[in-house]
Amino acid sequence: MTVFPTFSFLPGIQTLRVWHPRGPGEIEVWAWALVERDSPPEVKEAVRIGVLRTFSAGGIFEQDDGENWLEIQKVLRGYMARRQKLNLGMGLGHARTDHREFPGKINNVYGEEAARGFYSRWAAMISGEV
Amino acid sequence: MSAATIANAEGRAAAASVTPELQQEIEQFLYHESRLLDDRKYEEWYALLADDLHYFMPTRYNRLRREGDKEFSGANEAAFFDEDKAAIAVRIRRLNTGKAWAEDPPSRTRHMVSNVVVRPLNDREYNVDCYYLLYRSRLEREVEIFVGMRHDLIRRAPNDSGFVVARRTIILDQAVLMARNLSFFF
Repeated sequence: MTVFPTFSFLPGIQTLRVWHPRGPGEIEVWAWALVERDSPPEVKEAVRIGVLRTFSAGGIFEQDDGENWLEIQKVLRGYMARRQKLNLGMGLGHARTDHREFPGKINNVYGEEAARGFYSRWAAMISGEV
Repeated sequence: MSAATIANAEGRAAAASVTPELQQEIEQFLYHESRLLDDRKYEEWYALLADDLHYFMPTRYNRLRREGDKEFSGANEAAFFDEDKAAIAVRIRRLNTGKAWAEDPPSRTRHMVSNVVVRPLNDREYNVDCYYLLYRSRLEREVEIFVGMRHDLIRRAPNDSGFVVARRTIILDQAVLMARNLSFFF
């Protein structure tokens, strides 16, 4: 989940992120493990270890993400990729807005609703519409 | 934590008790262990880890001199690695799944170790500090270099190498990690 533009949270894993753009082609990731203030020390410790072993630079899942983030950007700089428009169509048209509790557009997590939201908001701001 | 408390500077007087033979024995063990990692013989390397292993790599911050005690993350704070032997086993098992994309194709690593300082703790355990330079090349043309210090607790053991690693604290001389990931062992 991302609060526009660069503040993210990974539910279930309890990691908070701030993605700092460091100029073209570079990003610096600040990461935290989020624990409930009133939870017992052993629970806090389990969350800390859980985050560092899964979603951190050496985490067994995020290791591969480091690969994805860099390689996707490299591919997008290629000749063929540059001739295409960026396709963010996954899940397009399947968003709903009638949830009883939660406002806004809701879609399946395996889709590009978040990316569409991010770029729409960015486009609006950059063109002075907001 | 400051650099001085993480590094094992204690026992300067004990230097006299470190014979050239002991120094040689322990250096050879460190070289052997490095070679196993670079040859991707992870199971053989794993066999050189003590059952009570603590493999720890704190994060590091860019701090003013007067805040030197805040340079490294502490015991219950953010860390790149804070592993026991079972966690290392999971990481090695992952490498053999065929789905560990950060290491498939595998990194080409070269672990170089120098400035080895041995301090006997008792007749079978040694505090061993060393400087390391870890060269890593990935895919077709990615290169990363890691430089820092390791503080190991090396223990005599009845295996072919004569020792196991019981504790490894890894200090990296970077504040922001300048690598895409840490999918290998130090």
